Amino acid sequence: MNPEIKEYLATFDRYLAPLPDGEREMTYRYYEELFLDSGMSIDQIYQEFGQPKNLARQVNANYAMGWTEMDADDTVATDGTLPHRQATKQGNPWNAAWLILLGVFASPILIPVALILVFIFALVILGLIFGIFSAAGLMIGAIFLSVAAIVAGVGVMTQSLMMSLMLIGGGVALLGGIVLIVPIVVWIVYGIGWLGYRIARWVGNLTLKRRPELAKEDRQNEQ
Amino acid sequence: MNIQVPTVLLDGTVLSLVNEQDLYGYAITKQVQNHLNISESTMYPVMRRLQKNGYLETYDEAFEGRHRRYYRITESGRIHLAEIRAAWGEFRVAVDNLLIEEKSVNGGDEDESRN
Repeated sequence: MNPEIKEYLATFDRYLAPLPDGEREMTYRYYEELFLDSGMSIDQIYQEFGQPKNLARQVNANYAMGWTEMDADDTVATDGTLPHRQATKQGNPWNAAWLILLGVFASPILIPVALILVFIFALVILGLIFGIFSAAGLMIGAIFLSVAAIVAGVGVMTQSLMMSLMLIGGGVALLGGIVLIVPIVVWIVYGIGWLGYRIARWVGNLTLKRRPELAKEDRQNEQ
Repeated sequence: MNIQVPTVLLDGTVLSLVNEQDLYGYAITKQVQNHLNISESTMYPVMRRLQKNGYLETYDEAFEGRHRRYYRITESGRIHLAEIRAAWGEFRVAVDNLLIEEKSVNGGDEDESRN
């Protein structure tokens, strides 16, 4: 095999890393075989599939979007695959949303509407991330506070038993409260991620699913 | 002007080809491309989806010191192909009736809008 094509495939494979092993291998093998059987030159490969990084990102995005559903009005993806049920079940939605967005940016067409949507989506996610970090900061602070209270309580035990019990009790109560809150926070973070995943899928549907031929026409029409 | 091919029809064309004989990836792509304006990169998701849904299965065969992955239709693939053919048959008749003014042969139900 032509060394340039080999390198193309190696780069392609590297960027397929987010896929589960089986999926990754199958994808790699399919393209390797296609390149060998079609006898495409490296230039033809670049022309048809673009940069290996972008090809892989589109495959990953389609995997994360899970296109096993077959709506009659569905049109074909520019590339990739994926079962939505699996993608949501095994992966976390944040990860899936991220893969889709990478794919959207890697796709040959980025229609203006999608660009605006991606921008809004990025802003919302940024806001949420700040919120999550503040919440995490508060919780870590509370953990330190409770540990400090317990340590202090043990420390003053010989001087004032009442004070000591109060500090230890308060610290333990605070820790207990955090333990109760953690699953709720995790659930909220997951829920927001799921929402982000749905939005990302929607954006992905608008861009990734469009056929390249059609994209060319669109670009011509815009000019 | 370019009519987009719905995925269900691409699925149908692939199943129909593989129903005739087992084929490897590029052979399928080439045969579809003989008839439809489809890019190479369009085919991978189609093949993966058909496998995932259990309509196609694969096996490897040695070829020039490497392996080629062949696709074979499954029983549920044949059933699915029959469904797609039936659905397409109805759809085609409906669109022909609405879109095609000159009816080539057969009388059947006359098109009133014909001049």
